[in-house]
Amino acid sequence: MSDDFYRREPGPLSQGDVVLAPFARLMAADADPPRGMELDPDGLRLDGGDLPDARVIVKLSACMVVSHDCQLDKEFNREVTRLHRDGMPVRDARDAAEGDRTLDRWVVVAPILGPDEIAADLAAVARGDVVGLFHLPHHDALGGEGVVDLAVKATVDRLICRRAAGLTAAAADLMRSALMRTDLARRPIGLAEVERALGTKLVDITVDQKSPVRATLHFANGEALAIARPPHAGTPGGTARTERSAP
Amino acid sequence: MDVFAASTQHEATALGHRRARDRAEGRTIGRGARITAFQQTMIFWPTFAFAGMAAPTRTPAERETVAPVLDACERLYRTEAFIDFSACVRPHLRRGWTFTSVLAAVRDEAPDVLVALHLEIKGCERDLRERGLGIESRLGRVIHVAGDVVVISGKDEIRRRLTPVNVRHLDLRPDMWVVRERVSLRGHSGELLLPAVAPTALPDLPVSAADDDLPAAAGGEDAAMAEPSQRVLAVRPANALASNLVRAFATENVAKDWTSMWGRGEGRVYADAREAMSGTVPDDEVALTHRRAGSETW
Repeated sequence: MSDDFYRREPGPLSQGDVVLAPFARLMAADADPPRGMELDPDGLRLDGGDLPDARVIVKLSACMVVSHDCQLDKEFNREVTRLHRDGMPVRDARDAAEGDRTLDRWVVVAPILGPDEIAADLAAVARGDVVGLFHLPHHDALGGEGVVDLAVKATVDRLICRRAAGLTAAAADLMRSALMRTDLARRPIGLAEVERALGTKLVDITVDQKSPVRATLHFANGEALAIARPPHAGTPGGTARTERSAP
Repeated sequence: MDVFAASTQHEATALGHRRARDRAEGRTIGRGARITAFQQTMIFWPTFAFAGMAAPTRTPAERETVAPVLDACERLYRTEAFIDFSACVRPHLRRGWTFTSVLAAVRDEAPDVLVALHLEIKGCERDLRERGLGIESRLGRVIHVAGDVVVISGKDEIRRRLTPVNVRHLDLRPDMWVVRERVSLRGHSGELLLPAVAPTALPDLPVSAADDDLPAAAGGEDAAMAEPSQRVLAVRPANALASNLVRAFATENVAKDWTSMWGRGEGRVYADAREAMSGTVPDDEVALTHRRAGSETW
């Protein structure tokens, strides 16, 4: 189990934590199952009304929390603020909000697949070369390596999850980078655009050795800008279903 | 259960279709145009009527073989029980009707009618059995449909591949409850698949000879077969990793501190709030500057 990747202390629930959760997918009830899935007669059928009927497939899954840390405490923070503004001391307000189990219930998670469940080469996934997949090294509780399928997510109630592990800050940065690459930006940032926006030339980029995702841009006017470095994206090509599709 | 919906033949006494009844009067298993109810082709049939489909009727001798079934159908459709049943069903054949919804409505409005019809049908079946009719019913659920081949599963049996004679006329879909009927008459036999009501959807419907296939009750060992509103699914691990996690929790190989999904605690207190509590920041400024300790992206 890698100490560089998995943190020792649990701390509060955080982005990148590994949890056991029921993971649900909704699929068309009357169509062939999606490729790679088998028909599951135990799935619940939903009356679709004006839409085709749906089937809910639920599996107990090892998952990774992909909700951002601030989202995990958003309602908690608002409640502390509200109570404090109503005259409650901060410590009491925090305790009161801490005890309120109706707050911050929804957590977005992505399923963790076994190495044999992915079509991609595990080594390529481990190098971070495969968009949408994030490699997890061996963890004792998982009993092996895993691959987070960041392209598939579900929202679950915190009350029905149990946590098993969490990432170090550096590993969480890597995960966020993979998540960003999956959902938002598959292309590197255009530095020329930054220069034009700031009205000065970029003279240097330094990368945090402990956390390669973190980089600092140094500009000719002496300013420095710390950023989360976008990961490398492959050369677009191949068959594309949409214009923005990347391989 | 002894009343099913099907779309294979054209029933002289098709419920809710007086013109069709008139057109096909006297021919309980006629060969006319398809009868639909709001573009849905399912019609209510007693099971034994399908025996006529299993037996050929090309020659006079063959037609004579089927005659007892036709006679029984005609007798049934003249009974008070069937007429009452028709009257109850007809108002519910509105656009979008389903077999389950119609039977549920009849059950709620006139449960005695269902029981009476059931008893009449049982009587017909007894008579027909004495004259060589064989009916073997098995309740199951459609797993897969591929052309003429249907895969169904039933209680205590593995999946079965069937090629029912009426498959092309049925709108079979995965997960649909069906009754697999093996009907035989004087050396002729055939297999039919008929849409049916989920066994626990209408738990107080009359039961039939095939009821040894039915779950004892919702909530029993077959509770997972019940309708969605009553179902409690057993959620199984998706893969080995999930199974390993389950075991890790069960054997307490994951420290209790880790298992909590709450506990914002000290590590979750905003830096400014913490300072406020120690008196370094005015208390009324705390709420304006929430930021988790160590976080740059609050």
